[in-house]
Amino acid sequence: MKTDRENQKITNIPDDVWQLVKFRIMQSMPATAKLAIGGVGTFSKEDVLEHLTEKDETGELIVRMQLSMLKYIAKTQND
Amino acid sequence: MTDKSVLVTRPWYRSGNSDEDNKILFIFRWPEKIIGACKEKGITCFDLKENRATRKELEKFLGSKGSTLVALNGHGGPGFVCGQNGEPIADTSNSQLFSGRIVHALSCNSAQVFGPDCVANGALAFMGYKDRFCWFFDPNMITRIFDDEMSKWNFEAAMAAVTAVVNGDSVEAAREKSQKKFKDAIKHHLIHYGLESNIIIMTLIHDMENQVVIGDGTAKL
Repeated sequence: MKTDRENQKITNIPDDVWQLVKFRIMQSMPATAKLAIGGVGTFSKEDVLEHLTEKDETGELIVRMQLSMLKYIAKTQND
Repeated sequence: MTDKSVLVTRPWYRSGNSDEDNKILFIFRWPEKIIGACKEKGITCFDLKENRATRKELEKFLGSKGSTLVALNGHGGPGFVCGQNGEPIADTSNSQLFSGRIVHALSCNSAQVFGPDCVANGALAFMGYKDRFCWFFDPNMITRIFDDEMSKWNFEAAMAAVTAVVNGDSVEAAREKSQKKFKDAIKHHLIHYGLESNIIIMTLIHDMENQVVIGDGTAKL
């Protein structure tokens, strides 16, 4: 069962960012793979997409990771 | 007080949830690399595993033996690191036991409160993670965990920090080696870009950016 905090909708991320991350996960995560997030749980592709749809705390962490990745790649391309 | 030895804690238990069990297995198996590095260097390594990865055993051990490097592996939170059955074994109430030692924690968020508290209470240095440690894995590879092409990059890089200290590097040099491992893995996946590269790189960058050293970076084993 999700805690209240996990159920909380994250509202400070624009809709198109949620959509972009969902699309990238849909394209790149194999159906058999699992995402392990220490202290939170283990998630199938279906679970990950659900958290991104729900826009909850777990979804937010995945969005943050994707944005950090895009920033890192952009930075290293310019270095 | 301390001698040149290494203490490792690594829980392994059945939680009743196979996904959760798989996750714990990574935290149990990968520290074998630390034990292996100790063997190669002829350094004594005390392995508090499974039912011995408890608060009682850890406190008894730190009270009597006094290893210079303590490698804690397990679930965690800002102020604690867990052992067997997810019970907190190291937290701000026993952080004074780490005085005079180098602490490495492969544990989520423990660099937020527990790490600084260890150093404030006399630990030489703390190496760990200020956010959640994340990785992707292939459940079909769970019996060959070291060969899992999805997860091995994160754990090889994370373990490189501890094995470098075992091999005589300073804490800061060990972190640099670990960071290089993360960067090399990212580069590898950018060059050999495949279907899964996006997700593997995502967790590599996250773990790399959250790895920190607190305290004296020149500290050595």
